[in-house]
Amino acid sequence: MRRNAHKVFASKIARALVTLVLMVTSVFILMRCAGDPVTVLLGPDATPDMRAAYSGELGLDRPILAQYLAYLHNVVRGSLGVSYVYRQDALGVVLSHLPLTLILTCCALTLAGVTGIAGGIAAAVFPASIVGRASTIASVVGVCVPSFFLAIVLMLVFSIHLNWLPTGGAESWRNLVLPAVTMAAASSAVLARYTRVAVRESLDSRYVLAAFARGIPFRRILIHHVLPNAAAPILTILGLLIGGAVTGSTVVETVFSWPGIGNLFVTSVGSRDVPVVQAIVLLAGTAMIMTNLAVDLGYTWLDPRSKSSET
Amino acid sequence: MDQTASDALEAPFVQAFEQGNAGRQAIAAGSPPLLSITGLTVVVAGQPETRLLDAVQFELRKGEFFALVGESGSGKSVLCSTIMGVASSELKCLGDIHIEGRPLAEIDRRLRAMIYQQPSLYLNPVRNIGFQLRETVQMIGGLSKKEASERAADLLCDVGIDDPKETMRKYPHEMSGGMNQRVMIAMALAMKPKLLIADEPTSALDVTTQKQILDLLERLRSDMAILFVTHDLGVALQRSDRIGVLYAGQLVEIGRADLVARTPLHPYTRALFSAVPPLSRHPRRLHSPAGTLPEPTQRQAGCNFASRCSGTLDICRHIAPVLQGTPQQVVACHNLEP
Repeated sequence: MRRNAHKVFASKIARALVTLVLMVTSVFILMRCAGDPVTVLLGPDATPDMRAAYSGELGLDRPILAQYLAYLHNVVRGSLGVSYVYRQDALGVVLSHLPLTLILTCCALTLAGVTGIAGGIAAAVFPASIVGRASTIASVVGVCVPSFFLAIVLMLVFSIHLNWLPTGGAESWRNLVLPAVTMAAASSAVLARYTRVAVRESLDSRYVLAAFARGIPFRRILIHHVLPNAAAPILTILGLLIGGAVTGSTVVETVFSWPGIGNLFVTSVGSRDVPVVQAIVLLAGTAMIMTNLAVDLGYTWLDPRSKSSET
Repeated sequence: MDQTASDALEAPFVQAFEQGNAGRQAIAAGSPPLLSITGLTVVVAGQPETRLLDAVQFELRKGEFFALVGESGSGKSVLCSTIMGVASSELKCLGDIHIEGRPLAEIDRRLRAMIYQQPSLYLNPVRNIGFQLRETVQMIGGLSKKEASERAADLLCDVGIDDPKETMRKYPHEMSGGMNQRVMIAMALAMKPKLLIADEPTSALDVTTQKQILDLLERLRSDMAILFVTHDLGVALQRSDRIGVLYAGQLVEIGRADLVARTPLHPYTRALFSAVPPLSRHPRRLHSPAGTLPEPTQRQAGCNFASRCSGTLDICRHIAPVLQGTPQQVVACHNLEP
C-alpha cells in the first residue's frame, strides 16, 4: 500500500518533468517559427555581411540541434537572454514584475476561494433558500460576464461616480481592490458551480443516507462526510485557477494598468521583446505544470482510492 | 386454485424450512409487539392517488425474524426507509408506526438500525472504517476517542472480523463486499438497536459469504427483531419465523414460514413460489407470473393482483380484499375456496 503510494508519487513527478521538457521544446520551436530573429532585429535594409555577423553572434549559423542544446543549457541555468527594451537579463525583468502579480492573484484567489466555495455549499445545501438561489444566480452571471466588461462597470461605479477607489496604478491597497474583485468574480463563479455540483452529488449519495439513518447530526455529516468527498473536484478547479492566474491576470492588469507580469506580457509582445515573452511563457507554463502536480499529489491525500487505482 | 403448480414446487421449500427449523426460537406470543405498523400508506406528495404503500399492517416481536418478500417495485425499500425515518421528502406517510408502543417521531433513533444490499455504497469511500465506526460509537455513548476505538474493535470482533485494528485502518474499497457488510452490521450493533432492518443484505454476496452473514444475523437476533427484506425465497423460508408477501404496495399474505411454504393462500404467493426453478430436474421453461406489476400511477380500485390472477371474481375488480384468517396465517384474497 505505502509502497504503491510512493510509486504513484514518483510517476506523477516524472510525468510533470516530461511535460516541462516538452513545454521548453515547444517554446524553442515556436520561437524559430515566429520569423527570422535577424530580420526582426536588424530590419529589412540590413546588408548580407551584417546579417552574417549578427547570425554568428547569436549562434544562429550553427546546426539546429546545437542551437537547441545551447538553448536547453541556458534555460537550465536560468539565462533566457537580454531584454531588447530593458537591456537587462530577461528573467530578471520578469521576476521584478512577479511580486505585484502574486499580490493581485493571491488576493483575488483567496476572495474567489472563500466566496466561491461558501456560495457553492450554500447553493447545494439550501437550494430553495434565498442564499442558495442568490448564489446560483450570481454564479451564472459571474461566468457569463467577461472580466474587461466587469472591470469597466466597476470603474464607472466606484471610481468615477462614487470616487472611492482609483482607476489604476499600484500605489496603495486602494489600487488593489478593483482589480482583485474583478479577477475574483469569474473564478468565484466557476468555483461555486463546481462546488455546488460536487456537494450535491455527495449529499445524494448512499453513504450520506446511511449516516443520516445512523442519526449522525447534519453538521457533522456535512463537514466529515460530504466535504471530504466533494474536495477532489474542487481541488481540480482550484488548481486550474491558480495555474492560470499568472497569465489570467493579463486582461485585468492591462485594464487597471497594474504593473505586473500580465501587463509586461502585453507591452513586450507589442515591442517584440522576444526574450521577455519567452521568459513569461516559460514561467507561466511552469506554474501551470507545478500546480497540476500539486493537485495530483493532493488527490492521493484526499481520496485513498486514487492510490490504488493508478499504477 | 392452481393446485398443480403449488404441489409440484413446494417440496424443496418445506425441506428448506425444516433445515432451518433447528435454530428457530419460540417467540413469546403474549409479549407486546416491538414494532407495530397500522394502516401505513405512503403517497407521492401532491399525488394522493400514487400509493407506493397501501394500508400496510403488521407487527414484529422481540427475537423475531420476519422476512418480507416481493418483486422489485413492490415497495419493500420504501417501507424500510419509512421505518428508518429517512424516506425522501417527496413522499408523504399516513398511518402509524410504533416502536415499543411509542410513535416513530418520539423515539430515539438508535432503537432501529439498517443494513443494505450493497454495503460498499453505504460506507464513505474517503474515510477509513475506524473513523466511521468510531463516529457512530462516540455519538451513542459519549466516549473518549480511545474508549471509542476499543469499543469499535470489540464490535468488529463480534461480527467475526479477526484483525479489528488492521481493519479499522482500511478503506471500504480495500475490503470485500462480505467484510463491508460485517462492518455495516457492526455499525448497526453499535447503536444497540431493538429493530434491525436488513434490506437484501446478502443479495450482492457470494453463497459462502451469504451463509456467514445469515448465521451472524441468526446469532444476533435474540436481542432484537429483524425485518429481513429479500427476494430469495429459499433464504426467507430457511431463516425466518414469519413471512410477509408484499405486492404492489400491499401486504397480501402474512404467515408462519412453514404454513406459507406448505399452503400458500394468495395466488400471488403461489405464483412467486412456482417461479423458483426446482433443483431436482431441468425445467423446460422457467415459470414467471403472467403480466407485470402495475405501476403505482396505474393502480385501480379492487385487488391490485386482479389483472394477473387466474381466479378473478367480479368482486375483485371493485373492492380491495382485506387481510383475514387465523393468527398463524392471514391473506388478502376474495377467492379462498379450495
